[in-house]
Amino acid sequence: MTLNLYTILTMRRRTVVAERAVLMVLRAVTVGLLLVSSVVQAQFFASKKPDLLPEHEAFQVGAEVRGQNLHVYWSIANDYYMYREQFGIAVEGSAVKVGDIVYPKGVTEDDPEFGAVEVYFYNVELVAPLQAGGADNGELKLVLKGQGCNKPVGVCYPPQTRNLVVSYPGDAAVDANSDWQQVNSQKTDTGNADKSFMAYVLGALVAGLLLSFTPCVLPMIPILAGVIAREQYPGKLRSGWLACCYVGGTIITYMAAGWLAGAAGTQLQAYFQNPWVIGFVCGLLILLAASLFGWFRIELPASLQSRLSGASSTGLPAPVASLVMGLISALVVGACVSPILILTLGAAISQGDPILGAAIMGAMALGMGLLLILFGFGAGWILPRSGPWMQQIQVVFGFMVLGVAIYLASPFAAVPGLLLWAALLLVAGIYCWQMAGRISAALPAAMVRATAIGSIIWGALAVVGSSSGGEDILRPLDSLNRGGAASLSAPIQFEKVTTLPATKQLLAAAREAQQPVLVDFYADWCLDCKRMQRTTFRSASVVDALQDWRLIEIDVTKNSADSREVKKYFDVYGPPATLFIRADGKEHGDLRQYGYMNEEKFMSLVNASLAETTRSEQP
Amino acid sequence: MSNTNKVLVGVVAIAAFAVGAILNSAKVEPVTETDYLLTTPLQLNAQPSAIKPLLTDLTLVNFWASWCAPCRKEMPIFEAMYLREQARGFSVIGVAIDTPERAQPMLDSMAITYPILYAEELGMQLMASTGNDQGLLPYSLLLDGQGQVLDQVLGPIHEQQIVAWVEQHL
Repeated sequence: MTLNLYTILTMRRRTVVAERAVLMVLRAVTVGLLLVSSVVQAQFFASKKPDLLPEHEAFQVGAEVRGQNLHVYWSIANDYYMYREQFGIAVEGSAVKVGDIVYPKGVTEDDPEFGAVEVYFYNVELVAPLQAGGADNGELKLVLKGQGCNKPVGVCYPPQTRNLVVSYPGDAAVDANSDWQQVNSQKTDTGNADKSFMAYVLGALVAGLLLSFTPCVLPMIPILAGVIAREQYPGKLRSGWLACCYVGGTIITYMAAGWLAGAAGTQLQAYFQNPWVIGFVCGLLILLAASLFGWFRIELPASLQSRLSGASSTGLPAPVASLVMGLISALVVGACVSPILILTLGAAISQGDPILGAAIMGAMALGMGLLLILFGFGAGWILPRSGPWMQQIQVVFGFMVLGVAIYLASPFAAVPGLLLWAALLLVAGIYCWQMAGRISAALPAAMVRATAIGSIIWGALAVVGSSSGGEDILRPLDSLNRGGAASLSAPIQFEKVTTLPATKQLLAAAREAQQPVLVDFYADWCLDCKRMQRTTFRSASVVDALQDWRLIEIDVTKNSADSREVKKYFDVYGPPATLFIRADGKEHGDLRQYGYMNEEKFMSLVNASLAETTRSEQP
Repeated sequence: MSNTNKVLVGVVAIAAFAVGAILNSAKVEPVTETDYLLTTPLQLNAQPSAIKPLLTDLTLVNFWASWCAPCRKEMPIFEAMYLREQARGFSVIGVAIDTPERAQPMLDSMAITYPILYAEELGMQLMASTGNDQGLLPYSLLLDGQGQVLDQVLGPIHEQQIVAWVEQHL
């Protein structure tokens, strides 16, 4: 038996030998999965073996007054959650009243006795309006209540009451026992938002177009054909119009999903930092890749598909019926392309913007529907037909999906990202090379061969890079250059500290030297922090712009007393947080950022902070 | 799937479950002294009562509160086992870290018939005296007729666990 990769991947040869091989592989995979799950389960329980956290570590709280609002941050340890209905905010010994709390959207947990209860994992920010009640001595004594549990063990902590003092009123939004000072300037409008908006939407459109070359979209064709066939002799324009309505229906469904995801934003975002969620998404992606390799098929039951395509005999006018069919069949396709959907939704969630979320999802639906619209206008020939070439496109797409999975998983230290990339590139390269041998036309064959060679060389470089400790697939050999002359793409060097006294010392030195300071909160477990290190902090313009800055990285990987102290001092509730500090030692409060920033966003903040500084120097 | 595979899969699944179960038992301090737990007067039907006079041959003392969702999940199981094994000398005593006003509607909704003692804040001290310093819930102690601790569990209890206890001790 020749171990031809092409044969294995596409499973075209349905010989007995091949089938037996498939069965063996499936069996091995099943047992392997079970073993892995037992190990994971063991690790899972082992990881919480160092007992349950003390309550002050499981649930930490911070607060600040911003404008007329009180912001309370509960920072909830991994595996723990808190109940929405148990939160309370009260003010002691002051005429100031606290209004109704505004809660972010939580997660709904089902309770067998009491129905659905809303809970929060990770961080939750509660906002409550303050109603001034006469003169105050500049501080508020807060009594904060909350109650939560540990999910995996299934035990609950008694209701927590925490006392905290915050300064009020004033623009220095700080803890009373912290002398940290912030100044707020006018909100800076970066103007770059539109650009990244378009980038996201275009990306989604392309993703949708690519998806339309997968068999996922094929079930939509008979449904659409059914709608069009209702008309006796529809002209091409008429059937094209019907197809547009149909695609419009799918777009509406997806846009609604995108809007919801964007609106849920920041809460769900925390999940996308969670190893389990990423692991789950990666698992789905690997499944999708496997189905693209032809190992099995994902599709809706045939009965449901045929019911949809036959259901067009309702009394509705054809365009409306077509639209409704689109609304429904978006769900049909959704089941098949769910990994990609999750990714796209993930992008919407991470932006936390309902409009952008809707736009992204809408663009993807449009991309998926473009071929259908052409089909409606009579261009039946343009539709992909299942054939050998289709199978090959699918396999290539499968490789891309695997690449996405590796990209998602590689921020975790345990995942040998570069090595996986290398393996993927090498396998894809070999596959393409073999595929080229089956293409008769000279030019396409040569192009595929060139791609194959490129992929193999890149993969080989990645192997070399990973053996010398490299991490970034875009710069596989970077690790070999380390220690050499500083190149433009070398990451900016932070002064790393973990304690408050050390931080204060550096800040004092910067103030002495009249240097602006960038303070970056970092942790090993923070995916966005690592991503910023790999991208933003390596870009030439950022490195250049920060030359005269003092750069401080506060490592809060350990949840130690030191970490808590420094977080409390700066009133930062967790990494990634980026603080811009003026040469006079005061922070630009409104420039403070939580979460990932790309180069453009980062540069706009740097420029804004410099502009603000110059303005305030010339009164 | 062949028979060999079935066996293999079964073995792996059982092993995985066992590893999980062993590691799942969260830590509490072992209890040596139960006098405080047994004799501290609490509220039973608005009358003062301690745990000691309520003891049977095998008693499960379960600390719970209305704000503890996992507690609410396991209490119907306790009720069912209490009704089934009462004749053999098994009983359940619930100790509520709660006020009757908040907890009674919940008890009514679950139709709990085993005795409930109200401890409120005192319950935290009772738990601390029996190895649960942090006051985590649900927390349960299995006592013999003399009030000696046979077992202690932090976290939810499954029906099989109670069945095993009853088989072992009665």
